[in-house]
This record gives sequence, C-alpha cells and structure tokens, in this order.
Amino acid sequence: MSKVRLQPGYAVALLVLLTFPFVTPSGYSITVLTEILVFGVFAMSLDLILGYTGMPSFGHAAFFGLGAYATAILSAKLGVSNLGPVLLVTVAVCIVAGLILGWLAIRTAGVYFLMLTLAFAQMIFAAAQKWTALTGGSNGLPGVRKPEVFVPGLVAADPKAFYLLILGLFAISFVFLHRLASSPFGRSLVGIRENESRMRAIGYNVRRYKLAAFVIAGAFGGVAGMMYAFYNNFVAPPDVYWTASGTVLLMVLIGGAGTLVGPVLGAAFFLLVQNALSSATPHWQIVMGAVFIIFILFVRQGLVGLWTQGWAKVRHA
Amino acid sequence: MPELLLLEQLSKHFSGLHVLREVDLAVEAGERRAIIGPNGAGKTTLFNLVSGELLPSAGRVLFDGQDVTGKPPEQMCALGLARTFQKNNLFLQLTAHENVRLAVQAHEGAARRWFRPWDSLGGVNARTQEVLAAMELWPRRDELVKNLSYGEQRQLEIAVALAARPKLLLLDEPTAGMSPAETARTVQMIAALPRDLTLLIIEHDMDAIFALADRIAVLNYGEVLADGEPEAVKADPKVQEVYLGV
Amino acid sequence: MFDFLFVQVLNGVAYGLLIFLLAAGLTLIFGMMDVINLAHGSFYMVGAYVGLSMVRQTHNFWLALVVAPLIVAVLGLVVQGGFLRPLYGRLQLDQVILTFGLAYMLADAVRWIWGAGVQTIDPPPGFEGGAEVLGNFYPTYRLLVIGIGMVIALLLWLIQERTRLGSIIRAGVSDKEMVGGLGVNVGLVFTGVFVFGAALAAFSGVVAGPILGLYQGMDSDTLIIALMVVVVGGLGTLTGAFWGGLLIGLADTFGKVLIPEFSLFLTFAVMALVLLFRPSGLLGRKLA
Repeated sequence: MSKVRLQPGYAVALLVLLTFPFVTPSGYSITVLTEILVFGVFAMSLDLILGYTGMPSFGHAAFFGLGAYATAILSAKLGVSNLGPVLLVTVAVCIVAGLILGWLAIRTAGVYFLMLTLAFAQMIFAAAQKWTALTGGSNGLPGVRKPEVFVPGLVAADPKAFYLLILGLFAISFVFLHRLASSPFGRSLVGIRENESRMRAIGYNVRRYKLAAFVIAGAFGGVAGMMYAFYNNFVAPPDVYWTASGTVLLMVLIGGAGTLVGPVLGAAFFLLVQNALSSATPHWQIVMGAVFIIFILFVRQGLVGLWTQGWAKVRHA
Repeated sequence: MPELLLLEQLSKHFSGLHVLREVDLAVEAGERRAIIGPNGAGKTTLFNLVSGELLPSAGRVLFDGQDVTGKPPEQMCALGLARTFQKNNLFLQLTAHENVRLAVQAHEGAARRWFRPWDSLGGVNARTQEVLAAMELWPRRDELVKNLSYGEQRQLEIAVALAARPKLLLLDEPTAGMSPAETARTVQMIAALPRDLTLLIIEHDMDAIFALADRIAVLNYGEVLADGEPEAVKADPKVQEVYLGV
Repeated sequence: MFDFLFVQVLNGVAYGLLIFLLAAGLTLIFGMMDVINLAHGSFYMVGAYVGLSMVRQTHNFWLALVVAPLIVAVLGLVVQGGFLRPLYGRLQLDQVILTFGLAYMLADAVRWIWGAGVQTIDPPPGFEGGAEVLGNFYPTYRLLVIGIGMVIALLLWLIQERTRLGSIIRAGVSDKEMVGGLGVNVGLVFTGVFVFGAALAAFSGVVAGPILGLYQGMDSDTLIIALMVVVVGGLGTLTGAFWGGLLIGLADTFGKVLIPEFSLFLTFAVMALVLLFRPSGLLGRKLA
C-alpha cells in the first residue's frame, strides 16, 4: 500500500529539483526535466483512474489535447497568455468534458470502456484535425507564448524561470493527488478497483465515485496539456491521436500503476530513454516496446514494484 | 410485532426459467429466520432480489415499511440491510482491516472525505476495531485477505456486513465449506450477535439451523413449501419427502 | 448524377470489402479470446511492406499475395505463443496492453527495414488501367479488389457455415468453456484463429497497397478503422464484419465527398453511440 503521509523523501526530491537548474550548466537537461514534469502530471492524472480505480482509459489524450488546444487558442490566437485565465479555462473545459464523457463512458466497463474512451478521444482528434478555423487543422497551432505568471508582464520566458513554474505546477498537482489518493475517497477508489460489486453491497454509489475520479483525472490531464502547450509552443493533432493515449498508458504501467510516484518515474524513464537513445539510434521505440512488454510479463508492478521487491529482499537477507 | 421484511408474491424468471414463484415471506424485527431448501431452490436468488443485486420479475419487497422493490444495493445498504455472500466476495488484495474499514467509512459518511489521510478518522478506526474483535479477527487485521484461511475469510464476510450496523442481516450459507469445529465457532458467533439485529439465514447445516432459527421457511423449486417453527417444519411430511430424506 | 453515384458506390464497396478483410481477423480474435489485438494494424502493415519487397524482387503480385500472409502468419504464431499465451490467467486487459507494446515495436521495426518514406505497391500487370463499366471509366484494380473481397468473403462464409472447423469457431465465440469441455483443444483453436487473423490482415495489406499506399502511421490509422468495423458490425461475428465493413466503407466514401469536414468526427461518434447503446453491434447477437 502506498504510504499515507508525504514522506520526507519527497521534500528532499523537491529540494534537488529546485536547485537543479542552478547547479547544472546544460540548458538541454533543464528542457528534458521540464518535459518530464509535464508528462509526470499527465501520467499521474491517468493513474488516478487507471491505477487506483481500475478504469482502463485509452482516451486520456482527449483531456491533454483539450488543455493544450485551449491554451494554444488563448495564447496564440487570442493573445491571452496569463496563467490565471488560461488555467481557469483549461480546468473548466476539462471538467465539463469530463462530466459529459465520463457520465457516458462509465455506463460501460472493461474492454468496452477502453474502446469507448478511445472513440471519444478520436472524436476530439477529428475536431482538431478538421476544424481548421479554430485549431489550425493538420498544421496545428504554432506561436504559443510563454506564460505570464498572474502578474501582467511577469513572463516566465527564461528556461530556468519556466522550469521553476512547471515545477511549481507539478508539485501542487502531486501534493493534491497524493492527498486525494491517501484519503478515504482514494481508498474508496481502490475498493472499486478490487471488488466493485462488494462496494455496492456495502453502500457505495460506485458510479458517482468513478465519475468524480474521471473528472478530476480529466482536469489534471488538461493541466498537463496546458503545461505542454506552454513548453512546446506548438500544438498539433498528433498530440491528441490515440497513440498518445497509449504512450501515457505505457508510462503509467512501466512506472507502476496505482502508486502516483510510479507514473512520474515512468514518464521520466520513457523520456530519458527516448532522449538518450534517439541520439544514438532512431530505433528507441523497439527498446521501449520491449521494456514495456518485459514489464507487463514479469514485473507487472513496474519500476515501483522492482524497488519494493528489491527492498524486501534486502530486509530478508 | 412489526414486520421488518415482507416479500409479497415475489417472482423471478430468466428467459422462461422460473427460479422463484410467488414467494410470500415475512420476517419480524428481532427475529432469526432461516431459509432452507435443496440446491437450485432459489434461495440465493431470493437474497439477490432483496438486496438489490437482481430485479424481480413480479412481486414486491417491503423493508421497514417502505417499498424497496428494485432499489440498487447501495441504497438498500443505506436503509439498513446488509448481506454476506455464498462465495467469498471480499477484497482479496487488501488487508482484513481495510475490508471492514471500507464498509465502516461508507456507513459513517466518511467515504467522500478527500483531504485527510484515510487512517486519521478516529470514529472509523474505533468501529473497525470493534467489528473485527467481535468476529475474533483483530489479531489478523493486517493480513491480506488472500492469505487468510477459508474459515477466517467466511468470518470476515460477516464482519464486513456487520460494519454498517444493519437492521437486517442476510447470511448466505455462513458455514459453507467449514470444518465441524469452525462451524461450531461460527454458529456461536452468530448466536452471540445482538438480539435487536434481525437475521435471515440460508443454510444447509441442520444443526446450525436448529440452534439459531426461530422460524424456518423451506424453499423448493422456487416455491415456499413450508413455513413455521423448527419442530413443525421438521415434522411436515412434504418437507421430509423433498428435503430431509426421511 | 448516376455516374457520380455509381463511381462512389463502387469506391465504397471496394473500400468496404478491404476493411472487411482487415476486420475479419480482429473480430474473430476478440470473439474467441476476448482480446483486442492492438497489433492488428501492425500485421496489416508488415504484410503490406513484405508484399512491397516481394513485388519489387519478383515482379509477381500474386506470389506476394500468398507469401506475405504466410510470413505474417509465422509472426502471429510467435506473438501468440511467446507473448499472449503466458498471460492467459491474467486480466484480458493485460493482453490488450501487451499487444500495444508489440505494435510499438513493430512500427519501429518496419521503419528500420523499409524506411519512413511513402510507398506504394504497383498493381499486377493487366490491372494498371481502367475499363468501361456502365458508361464509366473505372480503375480495373479496384474491380479486382471487389472480386477478391467477394471471393474471400464467400470462402469464409462457407468455412464458417459448412465445415466442422467453422462450427467449432462459432461455438467457441459463444462459449469457449463449453467447447473445451467437448474435447476440443481450445489452445490450439486460439492459436489457429490468431494466426489466421494475422494472415488475413497481411493479405488485406497487400491488396490495399496499390490503393491506400504504405506510410508511417498506417498501422495506427488502420487499426482504428478495423476497430470501428468490428464495433459497428458486432464483436465476434464475421457476418457483422462483412456488413459493417460495407456500411463503413460506403459511409466513409460518401462522407469524404459530401461532408468532408465532419465525416471523420461522425464516424467516431457513430462508434461511440454503438458502444453505448448497442454494444453487441448493429448485427451482433445480444450479449448474454
């Protein structure tokens, strides 16, 4: 079971992450770390429904895309790059979408839920691809500016400043999701994953819990999308394509579903391998796919599972 | 005495197969009622209709004066009904403590709390301990359910159902698959339950029935064959012919 | 007006039969094994590329049509035996996710071997041009596709309805435990169905080559279409895949021509609606 309270280890990690850009000379590594934090939030948000509640969504890129496109439209087309309104719009759009799509999707389960979420995400992809006037169509939306951090004129343009902003958003997301997962509500989600019918029998309105989880996950997925748009300065339909949903699912499972920290590690693993290998060989995906398959077959609990198994062996030695 | 549970002409059929036919049954508050009958007689289906897992094809279920026909399980639980399952229906990958705690936190209205750590709710923790202790499972509370013995799991089934302080407890073959020693202990635990808790028990073990039940209903092919005090039912020739094999 | 309709109908039918061939394997695999094979588009893609190489080397389209499916059949065997079988006891979701990992690898492998550029397979000699059909000039290759599609459809129907193997598979889709209980080696049937499905996907890849082309991302594009056909037609039913394929083929063709901005969105909306309100598909049997 995941630890209930935030461990001091996390504070240490935060400290390390905070000082990182001032200690390393490499601008590239700051960029990579920023990207990891962005996808860390994305992966954590999926973990809430996939790992904790057991809902196999293959359409989470829908929320990522909604957040990314909302941000891009506001910033690149309407000139609004202030974090306040952008964050508000992103979260609002994703909550509404989460309520509608979630209410519909939760009527199904298992493989059907998987395919339905995939279909929903593809609908959003289709809109992104074809609604050229709004989304730029297959060319996407370039020109997303770096965000104004609430105070007009205070733009996080410098890579270090932007990194710190993203780190702040990541930390807030992590703390919030951690509290949620460690709360009675979070344990209820786990109960639903473990035995849905018994949860009903002991008095839980399972649909409502699933919907709440779905909406919260969608909101944070959208926040990740917003972060991505600011990071990448460019949003395009492939960011919403179903394979993007598959990639984040991969991150969650490699890292360890249902642990919150796992997905962050999974995102880090994925992006580091992609970055490290793609300079050496263009075939990093074969390695990634192979690693993924090995994890599914032999280390189902992911990187976190490896860690806990390793600790157990050390303690018993 | 007021009836806590009243089944009126309750029927259930699956595409032409009649599982229950016009069953009338009354359970009075504080009573201990048993339902017996050969396998396939429709006993568990009856439970499923009462607890809301299944919808009846015809008839009514009245609980505590209310018509609750067709209400889903979560609502039935809120109204004061709890049940155990014939096949263990627990959270295998969670601890015994968590199994009970999930039921307690739902009942205490704490399940929706999202900001405080799950183990910080005093009321929930206290009640969980109380229930586990009553079923003699407190020492095993940190074990994963899949590592508990079968008998312990059966006891946990009852503990989870008790957690919500129900008015009516449906026990579906509580001693199924148990050794004689385990059965005796379980029967003792059930007998020791507070008398204001109404019980409706499906059982095959005759000794358990006669030790616990105030009244017995006999179900056969979905119909009520006999209904009354244990001695009367035992003596009923129809029952003897069909079930007791005398 | 008639000419326009006629040509579009032919286009729709050709495309529809193509995606039927693609979806047939996927629907059988799901029906028998409850697994959504997310690598199905990859089998299609590998088949197409192998076909491309064969046609380039041997200049024999028909040979490619036979050999490519065989090679992919072996690939399917390896996938099924090496990766899916070990997961039998586990959640079917794990198997689905595993096929996604495979698709990931296969996409990269194909790019490694054949490169990322857009390619196309040349149609076999004699079918490069067009012919006059009811007053319209129509590409003969597409007529060939329609012919091949109908022949395969007929063959599959015959196997399903008239042979013992077909009844085993139909029964297995309904109730695999029962079939096992009747003494059939369920594991063998699973493997056979999976391998056959992979081969069929590869076959459709070669057939589609001259029309749809080969490009990076064709596997994921195609998988989505196959999923759609399977969902709309009904999971596990070949007849459903056939009519679903035709339906979607025609709808997509007319949609692209009449309402190009909305047709993509609408196709997924239809898929979602079917999943929500008639999960057994428009033509499938009601789920128990």
